[in-house]
Amino acid sequence: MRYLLLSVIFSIAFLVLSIWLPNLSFIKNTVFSTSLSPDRKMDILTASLWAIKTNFTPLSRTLAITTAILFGINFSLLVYYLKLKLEGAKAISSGLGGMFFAILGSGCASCGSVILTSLLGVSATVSLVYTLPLRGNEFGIASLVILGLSTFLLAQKINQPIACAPKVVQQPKS
Amino acid sequence: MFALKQKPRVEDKVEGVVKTASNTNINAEGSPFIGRADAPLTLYYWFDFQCSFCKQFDEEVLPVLVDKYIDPGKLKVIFMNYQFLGPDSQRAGIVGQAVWEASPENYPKWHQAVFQKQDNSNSGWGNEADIMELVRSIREINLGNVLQLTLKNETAYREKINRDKDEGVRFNIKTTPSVLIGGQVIRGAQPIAVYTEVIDSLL
Repeated sequence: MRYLLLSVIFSIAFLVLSIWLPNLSFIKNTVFSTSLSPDRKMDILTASLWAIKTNFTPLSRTLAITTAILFGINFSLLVYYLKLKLEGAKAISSGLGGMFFAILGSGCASCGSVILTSLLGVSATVSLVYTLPLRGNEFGIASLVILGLSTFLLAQKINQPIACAPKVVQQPKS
Repeated sequence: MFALKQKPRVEDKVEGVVKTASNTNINAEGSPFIGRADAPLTLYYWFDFQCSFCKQFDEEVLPVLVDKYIDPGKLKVIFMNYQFLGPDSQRAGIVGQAVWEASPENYPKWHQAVFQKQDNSNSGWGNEADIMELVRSIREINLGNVLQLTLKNETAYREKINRDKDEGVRFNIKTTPSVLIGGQVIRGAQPIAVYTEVIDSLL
Protein backbone atom coordinates (compact mmCIF):
# COMPACT_ATOMS: atom_id res chain seq x y z
CA MET A 1 0.00 0.00 0.00
CA ARG A 2 2.88 2.34 0.90
CA TYR A 3 4.56 1.68 -2.45
CA LEU A 4 1.33 2.17 -4.34
CA LEU A 5 1.02 5.61 -2.73
CA LEU A 6 4.66 6.32 -3.60
CA SER A 7 3.95 5.36 -7.24
CA VAL A 8 0.96 7.71 -7.39
CA ILE A 9 2.94 10.59 -5.84
CA PHE A 10 5.88 10.15 -8.21
CA SER A 11 3.60 9.74 -11.24
CA ILE A 12 1.80 12.98 -10.43
CA ALA A 13 5.10 14.75 -9.70
CA PHE A 14 6.56 13.62 -13.03
CA LEU A 15 3.44 14.67 -14.95
CA VAL A 16 3.43 18.11 -13.27
CA LEU A 17 7.14 18.48 -14.09
CA SER A 18 6.46 17.54 -17.74
CA ILE A 19 3.75 20.20 -17.96
CA TRP A 20 5.78 22.88 -16.20
CA LEU A 21 9.13 22.06 -17.82
CA PRO A 22 8.98 24.77 -20.56
CA ASN A 23 7.96 27.38 -17.98
CA LEU A 24 10.05 26.61 -14.92
CA SER A 25 11.25 30.22 -14.58
CA PHE A 26 7.67 31.53 -14.88
CA ILE A 27 6.50 29.01 -12.25
CA LYS A 28 9.40 29.94 -9.96
CA ASN A 29 8.67 33.68 -10.35
CA THR A 30 4.99 33.06 -9.63
CA VAL A 31 5.71 31.02 -6.50
CA PHE A 32 8.23 33.51 -5.10
CA SER A 33 6.48 36.69 -6.27
CA THR A 34 5.96 39.28 -3.57
CA SER A 35 3.32 41.19 -5.56
CA LEU A 36 0.94 38.26 -6.12
CA SER A 37 -1.55 37.21 -3.44
CA PRO A 38 -1.52 33.53 -2.37
CA ASP A 39 -4.93 33.09 -4.03
CA ARG A 40 -3.66 34.53 -7.32
CA LYS A 41 -0.54 32.33 -7.15
CA MET A 42 -2.70 29.27 -6.62
CA ASP A 43 -5.00 30.26 -9.50
CA ILE A 44 -2.06 30.69 -11.90
CA LEU A 45 -0.41 27.43 -10.85
CA THR A 46 -3.59 25.36 -11.09
CA ALA A 47 -4.59 26.99 -14.40
CA SER A 48 -1.15 26.25 -15.85
CA LEU A 49 -1.65 22.51 -15.22
CA TRP A 50 -4.38 22.52 -17.90
CA ALA A 51 -1.58 23.04 -20.41
CA ILE A 52 -1.75 19.22 -20.62
CA LYS A 53 -4.81 19.94 -22.77
CA THR A 54 -3.65 23.02 -24.70
CA ASN A 55 0.09 22.49 -25.11
CA PHE A 56 0.17 18.79 -26.06
CA THR A 57 -0.97 16.89 -29.13
CA PRO A 58 -3.21 13.84 -28.42
CA LEU A 59 -0.16 11.58 -29.03
CA SER A 60 2.26 13.55 -26.85
CA ARG A 61 -0.41 13.82 -24.13
CA THR A 62 -0.95 10.04 -24.13
CA LEU A 63 2.83 9.48 -24.06
CA ALA A 64 3.31 11.97 -21.22
CA ILE A 65 0.59 10.39 -19.05
CA THR A 66 1.72 6.81 -19.75
CA THR A 67 5.35 7.72 -19.13
CA ALA A 68 4.40 9.41 -15.84
CA ILE A 69 2.54 6.28 -14.67
CA LEU A 70 5.46 4.01 -15.64
CA PHE A 71 7.92 6.44 -14.07
CA GLY A 72 6.01 6.31 -10.77
CA ILE A 73 5.89 2.49 -10.79
CA ASN A 74 9.55 2.28 -11.77
CA PHE A 75 10.65 4.70 -9.09
CA SER A 76 8.75 3.00 -6.27
CA LEU A 77 10.05 -0.40 -7.41
CA LEU A 78 13.56 1.03 -7.37
CA VAL A 79 13.07 2.33 -3.83
CA TYR A 80 11.71 -1.06 -2.73
CA TYR A 81 14.58 -2.83 -4.46
CA LEU A 82 17.24 -0.62 -2.86
CA LYS A 83 15.57 -1.16 0.50
CA LEU A 84 16.03 -4.88 0.07
CA LYS A 85 19.73 -4.06 -0.42
CA LEU A 86 20.08 -6.14 -3.45
CA GLU A 87 22.76 -5.40 -5.97
CA GLY A 88 21.43 -4.72 -9.40
CA ALA A 89 23.39 -2.23 -11.42
CA LYS A 90 21.70 -3.35 -14.65
CA ALA A 91 18.18 -2.71 -13.47
CA ILE A 92 19.11 0.61 -11.89
CA SER A 93 20.98 1.88 -14.96
CA SER A 94 18.14 0.96 -17.32
CA GLY A 95 15.72 2.68 -14.94
CA LEU A 96 17.82 5.85 -15.02
CA GLY A 97 18.09 5.59 -18.82
CA GLY A 98 14.31 5.39 -19.10
CA MET A 99 13.92 8.40 -16.84
CA PHE A 100 16.43 10.38 -18.95
CA PHE A 101 14.54 9.65 -22.19
CA ALA A 102 11.25 10.39 -20.47
CA ILE A 103 12.50 13.86 -19.53
CA LEU A 104 14.05 14.38 -23.00
CA GLY A 105 10.77 13.49 -24.69
CA SER A 106 8.56 15.46 -22.34
CA GLY A 107 9.67 18.77 -23.82
CA CYS A 108 8.41 17.90 -27.31
CA ALA A 109 4.98 19.43 -26.85
CA SER A 110 4.76 22.98 -28.24
CA CYS A 111 6.69 23.81 -31.42
CA GLY A 112 10.29 23.02 -30.42
CA SER A 113 11.49 20.66 -27.70
CA VAL A 114 12.69 22.44 -24.57
CA ILE A 115 15.40 19.98 -23.61
CA LEU A 116 16.59 19.25 -27.14
CA THR A 117 16.86 22.94 -28.07
CA SER A 118 18.99 23.45 -24.98
CA LEU A 119 21.29 20.60 -26.03
CA LEU A 120 21.39 21.08 -29.80
CA GLY A 121 20.21 24.63 -30.49
CA VAL A 122 16.98 25.70 -32.22
CA SER A 123 17.99 25.09 -35.86
CA ALA A 124 19.52 21.66 -35.25
CA THR A 125 16.49 20.59 -33.19
CA VAL A 126 14.07 21.68 -35.91
CA SER A 127 16.16 19.80 -38.52
CA LEU A 128 16.26 16.69 -36.34
CA VAL A 129 12.65 16.74 -35.20
CA TYR A 130 11.29 17.32 -38.72
CA THR A 131 13.19 14.35 -40.12
CA LEU A 132 11.46 12.13 -37.56
CA PRO A 133 8.09 10.72 -38.65
CA LEU A 134 6.46 11.38 -35.27
CA ARG A 135 8.01 14.86 -34.90
CA GLY A 136 10.00 14.07 -31.75
CA ASN A 137 7.47 11.82 -30.06
CA GLU A 138 10.00 9.04 -30.75
CA PHE A 139 11.76 10.10 -27.54
CA GLY A 140 8.56 9.54 -25.60
CA ILE A 141 8.12 6.09 -27.15
CA ALA A 142 11.78 5.22 -26.43
CA SER A 143 11.26 6.23 -22.80
CA LEU A 144 8.18 3.99 -22.58
CA VAL A 145 10.11 1.01 -23.94
CA ILE A 146 13.10 1.58 -21.63
CA LEU A 147 10.92 2.25 -18.57
CA GLY A 148 8.84 -0.86 -19.36
CA LEU A 149 11.98 -2.97 -19.69
CA SER A 150 13.41 -1.49 -16.51
CA THR A 151 10.19 -2.18 -14.59
CA PHE A 152 10.23 -5.77 -15.85
CA LEU A 153 13.91 -6.23 -14.83
CA LEU A 154 13.28 -4.73 -11.39
CA ALA A 155 10.22 -6.93 -10.84
CA GLN A 156 12.29 -9.98 -11.81
CA LYS A 157 15.11 -9.02 -9.43
CA ILE A 158 12.66 -8.42 -6.60
CA ASN A 159 11.07 -11.82 -7.16
CA GLN A 160 14.45 -13.57 -6.87
CA PRO A 161 15.08 -15.00 -3.39
CA ILE A 162 17.27 -12.88 -1.11
CA ALA A 163 19.13 -15.94 0.31
CA CYS A 164 22.47 -16.70 -1.29
CA ALA A 165 22.45 -19.60 -3.66
CA PRO A 166 24.50 -22.51 -2.33
CA LYS A 167 27.72 -23.13 -4.18
CA VAL A 168 27.84 -26.45 -5.88
CA VAL A 169 31.14 -28.06 -5.00
CA GLN A 170 32.23 -30.64 -7.43
CA GLN A 171 33.68 -33.68 -5.73
CA PRO A 172 36.86 -34.86 -7.43
CA LYS A 173 36.38 -38.18 -8.98
CA SER A 174 38.45 -40.77 -7.32
CA MET B 1 -11.64 34.56 -35.02
CA PHE B 2 -10.95 37.92 -33.50
CA ALA B 3 -12.17 41.18 -34.93
CA LEU B 4 -10.77 44.50 -33.91
CA LYS B 5 -13.31 47.10 -32.90
CA GLN B 6 -10.52 49.61 -32.55
CA LYS B 7 -8.15 49.31 -35.50
CA PRO B 8 -4.52 50.36 -35.29
CA ARG B 9 -3.78 53.61 -37.09
CA VAL B 10 -0.82 53.94 -39.46
CA GLU B 11 0.70 56.68 -37.31
CA ASP B 12 0.52 54.35 -34.30
CA LYS B 13 3.12 51.95 -35.71
CA VAL B 14 5.57 50.78 -33.11
CA GLU B 15 8.80 52.66 -33.45
CA GLY B 16 12.15 52.16 -31.80
CA VAL B 17 12.97 50.40 -28.62
CA VAL B 18 10.10 49.73 -26.22
CA LYS B 19 10.56 49.29 -22.48
CA THR B 20 8.59 46.58 -20.73
CA ALA B 21 7.17 46.79 -17.22
CA SER B 22 10.35 45.26 -15.87
CA ASN B 23 12.41 47.89 -17.72
CA THR B 24 13.70 45.40 -20.27
CA ASN B 25 14.44 46.94 -23.66
CA ILE B 26 12.87 45.23 -26.66
CA ASN B 27 13.43 46.26 -30.24
CA ALA B 28 9.95 46.10 -31.77
CA GLU B 29 10.49 48.65 -34.51
CA GLY B 30 8.11 48.09 -37.42
CA SER B 31 6.32 45.23 -35.69
CA PRO B 32 2.62 44.69 -36.37
CA PHE B 33 0.41 45.16 -33.34
CA ILE B 34 -3.22 45.33 -32.25
CA GLY B 35 -4.58 47.67 -29.63
CA ARG B 36 -3.99 51.25 -28.64
CA ALA B 37 -0.40 52.40 -29.11
CA ASP B 38 -0.44 53.94 -25.62
CA ALA B 39 -2.05 50.97 -23.86
CA PRO B 40 -0.69 50.59 -20.30
CA LEU B 41 0.35 46.98 -20.84
CA THR B 42 2.17 45.30 -23.75
CA LEU B 43 2.22 41.62 -24.59
CA TYR B 44 4.91 40.48 -27.06
CA TYR B 45 3.84 37.40 -28.97
CA TRP B 46 6.48 35.31 -30.79
CA PHE B 47 4.92 33.03 -33.39
CA ASP B 48 5.60 30.88 -36.44
CA PHE B 49 2.98 30.77 -39.19
CA GLN B 50 3.35 26.97 -39.49
CA CYS B 51 3.13 26.22 -35.77
CA SER B 52 -0.14 24.46 -34.90
CA PHE B 53 0.05 25.65 -31.29
CA CYS B 54 0.34 29.26 -32.53
CA LYS B 55 -2.80 28.68 -34.58
CA GLN B 56 -4.49 27.49 -31.41
CA PHE B 57 -3.25 30.57 -29.53
CA ASP B 58 -4.56 32.82 -32.33
CA GLU B 59 -7.96 31.16 -32.42
CA GLU B 60 -8.58 30.56 -28.73
CA VAL B 61 -6.54 33.04 -26.69
CA LEU B 62 -6.30 36.18 -28.84
CA PRO B 63 -10.07 36.68 -29.26
CA VAL B 64 -10.49 36.62 -25.47
CA LEU B 65 -7.64 39.11 -25.03
CA VAL B 66 -9.19 41.36 -27.70
CA ASP B 67 -12.60 41.38 -25.98
CA LYS B 68 -11.37 41.67 -22.44
CA TYR B 69 -8.30 43.89 -22.66
CA ILE B 70 -7.47 45.16 -26.17
CA ASP B 71 -10.81 46.72 -27.11
CA PRO B 72 -11.10 48.51 -23.72
CA GLY B 73 -7.60 49.94 -24.37
CA LYS B 74 -5.84 48.12 -21.55
CA LEU B 75 -3.52 45.93 -23.61
CA LYS B 76 -1.51 46.03 -26.81
CA VAL B 77 -0.29 42.82 -28.49
CA ILE B 78 2.86 43.10 -30.60
CA PHE B 79 3.43 40.33 -33.15
CA MET B 80 7.08 39.23 -33.10
CA ASN B 81 8.28 36.87 -35.83
CA TYR B 82 9.88 33.59 -34.85
CA GLN B 83 9.70 31.97 -38.29
CA PHE B 84 11.88 28.93 -37.63
CA LEU B 85 9.92 26.04 -39.13
CA GLY B 86 11.14 26.48 -42.71
CA PRO B 87 10.80 28.47 -45.94
CA ASP B 88 6.97 28.64 -45.90
CA SER B 89 7.11 30.36 -42.51
CA GLN B 90 9.79 32.81 -43.69
CA ARG B 91 7.81 33.67 -46.84
CA ALA B 92 4.62 34.33 -44.87
CA GLY B 93 6.60 36.42 -42.39
CA ILE B 94 8.07 38.59 -45.17
CA VAL B 95 4.70 39.17 -46.85
CA GLY B 96 3.20 39.82 -43.42
CA GLN B 97 5.54 42.79 -42.98
CA ALA B 98 4.46 44.12 -46.38
CA VAL B 99 0.78 43.72 -45.44
CA TRP B 100 1.40 45.60 -42.20
CA GLU B 101 3.08 48.43 -44.11
CA ALA B 102 0.44 48.54 -46.87
CA SER B 103 -2.68 48.11 -44.77
CA PRO B 104 -2.09 47.92 -40.99
CA GLU B 105 -5.81 47.90 -40.14
CA ASN B 106 -6.19 44.64 -42.11
CA TYR B 107 -3.11 42.91 -40.74
CA PRO B 108 -5.05 40.96 -38.06
CA LYS B 109 -7.43 39.62 -40.70
CA TRP B 110 -4.53 38.53 -42.93
CA HIS B 111 -2.61 37.04 -39.97
CA GLN B 112 -5.59 34.84 -39.04
CA ALA B 113 -6.25 33.91 -42.67
CA VAL B 114 -2.73 32.46 -42.94
CA PHE B 115 -3.32 30.31 -39.85
CA GLN B 116 -6.62 29.10 -41.27
CA LYS B 117 -4.77 27.86 -44.37
CA GLN B 118 -2.13 26.07 -42.28
CA ASP B 119 -1.27 22.50 -43.32
CA ASN B 120 1.73 20.19 -42.87
CA SER B 121 5.06 22.01 -42.50
CA ASN B 122 6.72 23.14 -45.75
CA SER B 123 4.38 21.11 -47.94
CA GLY B 124 1.20 21.87 -49.81
CA TRP B 125 -0.05 25.40 -49.17
CA GLY B 126 2.42 28.20 -48.54
CA ASN B 127 4.40 29.09 -51.67
CA GLU B 128 4.69 32.64 -53.04
CA ALA B 129 1.60 32.28 -55.28
CA ASP B 130 -0.52 30.86 -52.41
CA ILE B 131 0.40 33.72 -50.10
CA MET B 132 -0.32 36.38 -52.74
CA GLU B 133 -3.62 34.69 -53.60
CA LEU B 134 -4.53 34.94 -49.94
CA VAL B 135 -3.66 38.66 -49.96
CA ARG B 136 -5.85 39.10 -53.05
CA SER B 137 -8.76 37.31 -51.32
CA ILE B 138 -8.91 40.05 -48.67
CA ARG B 139 -10.50 42.83 -50.70
CA GLU B 140 -9.54 45.61 -48.32
CA ILE B 141 -5.83 44.97 -48.95
CA ASN B 142 -4.29 46.31 -52.14
CA LEU B 143 -2.43 43.36 -53.68
CA GLY B 144 -0.41 45.66 -55.96
CA ASN B 145 0.95 47.58 -52.98
CA VAL B 146 1.85 44.40 -51.11
CA LEU B 147 3.60 42.94 -54.17
CA GLN B 148 5.52 46.13 -54.74
CA LEU B 149 6.58 46.44 -51.10
CA THR B 150 7.60 42.77 -50.94
CA LEU B 151 9.82 43.13 -54.02
CA LYS B 152 11.30 46.42 -52.88
CA ASN B 153 11.90 45.58 -49.22
CA GLU B 154 12.42 41.81 -49.15
CA THR B 155 15.91 42.06 -47.69
CA ALA B 156 14.83 44.59 -45.06
CA TYR B 157 11.82 42.45 -44.09
CA ARG B 158 14.00 39.34 -43.83
CA GLU B 159 16.38 41.24 -41.56
CA LYS B 160 13.41 42.43 -39.49
CA ILE B 161 12.19 38.82 -39.10
CA ASN B 162 15.64 37.67 -38.02
CA ARG B 163 15.88 40.61 -35.59
CA ASP B 164 12.55 39.62 -34.02
CA LYS B 165 13.81 36.08 -33.55
CA ASP B 166 17.07 37.34 -32.05
CA GLU B 167 15.05 39.42 -29.60
CA GLY B 168 13.21 36.24 -28.62
CA VAL B 169 16.46 34.31 -28.22
CA ARG B 170 17.67 37.10 -25.89
CA PHE B 171 14.79 36.13 -23.60
CA ASN B 172 15.64 32.44 -23.92
CA ILE B 173 12.65 31.79 -26.17
CA LYS B 174 13.14 28.53 -28.05
CA THR B 175 9.57 27.42 -28.67
CA THR B 176 6.45 28.93 -30.19
CA PRO B 177 4.08 30.34 -29.19
CA SER B 178 5.83 32.32 -26.48
CA VAL B 179 4.78 35.58 -24.94
CA LEU B 180 6.55 38.19 -22.86
CA ILE B 181 4.43 40.24 -20.51
CA GLY B 182 5.53 42.31 -17.55
CA GLY B 183 9.04 40.93 -17.92
CA GLN B 184 7.75 37.35 -17.66
CA VAL B 185 8.17 34.82 -20.47
CA ILE B 186 5.33 32.31 -20.81
CA ARG B 187 6.16 29.49 -23.21
CA GLY B 188 3.78 27.25 -25.14
CA ALA B 189 0.03 27.44 -25.67
CA GLN B 190 -1.15 27.87 -22.09
CA PRO B 191 -4.78 27.81 -20.96
CA ILE B 192 -6.47 31.21 -21.32
CA ALA B 193 -6.76 31.53 -17.52
CA VAL B 194 -2.96 31.70 -17.19
CA TYR B 195 -2.80 34.79 -19.43
CA THR B 196 -5.82 36.52 -17.90
CA GLU B 197 -4.59 35.92 -14.34
CA VAL B 198 -1.15 37.35 -15.20
CA ILE B 199 -2.64 40.35 -17.07
CA ASP B 200 -5.12 41.06 -14.25
CA SER B 201 -2.28 41.00 -11.75
CA LEU B 202 -0.35 43.57 -13.82
CA LEU B 203 -3.21 46.00 -14.52
